[in-house]
Amino acid sequence: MNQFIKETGLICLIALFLGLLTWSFHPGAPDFHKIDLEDGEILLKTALESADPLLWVDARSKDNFELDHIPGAILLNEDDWEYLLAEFMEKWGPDQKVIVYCDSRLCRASKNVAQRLQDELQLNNVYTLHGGWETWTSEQN
Amino acid sequence: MKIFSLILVLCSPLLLQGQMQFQEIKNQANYKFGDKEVRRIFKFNNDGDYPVTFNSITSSCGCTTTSLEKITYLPGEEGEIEAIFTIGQREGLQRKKITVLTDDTDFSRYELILEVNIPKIAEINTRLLYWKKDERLDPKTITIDFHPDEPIKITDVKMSNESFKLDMNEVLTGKQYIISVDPGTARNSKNGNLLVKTDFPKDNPKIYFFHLRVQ
Repeated sequence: MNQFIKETGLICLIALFLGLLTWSFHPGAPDFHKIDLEDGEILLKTALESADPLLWVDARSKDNFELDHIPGAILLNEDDWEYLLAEFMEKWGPDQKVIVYCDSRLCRASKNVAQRLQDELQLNNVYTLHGGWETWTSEQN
Repeated sequence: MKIFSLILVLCSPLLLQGQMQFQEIKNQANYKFGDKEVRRIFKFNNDGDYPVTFNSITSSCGCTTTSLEKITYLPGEEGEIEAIFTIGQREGLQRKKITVLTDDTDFSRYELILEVNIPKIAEINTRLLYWKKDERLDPKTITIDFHPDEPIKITDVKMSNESFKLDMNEVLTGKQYIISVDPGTARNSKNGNLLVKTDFPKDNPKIYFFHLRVQ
């Protein structure tokens, strides 16, 4: 009986260990309540509570932008950077917080656009939206 | 003994491999100045003993499209996914993820990576010349350094607001240009756009945009 309990306990511990291992390292594992923000990322809630005026920048494709976008957002992606940059500058103001978004947590377009705004225009107040368009739409529903 | 059997059972999901074997899951593409797109092939073969059907192939960026000859592959059959990445006006290291889903119940998801390093054709110190409210209205400069492998000429400079005065110097032929912008002395807020046209690439010469603003 004692042996049975020991073995059962050991099996449970091994199962727990393997479960934790999978949860920690599996690329498709959900992040549950833990939100790891990358450098320059901002949560939607934080952005909406900000006292600064916001300038939303949509880094997705033109087709997706035309289908729907965050109200007031302007299109700026690397498909046609020079032309769209001119439109961005028409809307930009020095007191604005610029928040760039793309499709979801997995896309990199918003990071690339934000980086170029910092490098090429020396703008400091530039962020990327954590979760991107996917987060925006899920919050609206 | 019982314990080892159970450990094996518990570990078995970690040991599973898909029967679709990709030769490379990361593919680095070369880029030449002037390329409009790059194409790379991801080769695979069905190593298992039953047919596998591709359910979807999606990319993390609208700039990357993929094509596949057919969707079902028999055991032992080889195939390839072609990825086409449109350069647009991208620069720097581009890393695009391609997610492949199959109907293989044991292992159905594969992630392929297409990497392209696009060197900057020009190093530009700034695209925005901005004079703040209390700042002196001294001239500011834009420096354009073209890539040493690709001498480029500036063929035209257009300013939308003539109250900004320009002075352009070709410091190193085809390699370095300095444009000095004088906002004038009148302390009033104004904007201007500066377009700098080059002779490269021949079929669709690149135009650089700059914004000037006096607060």
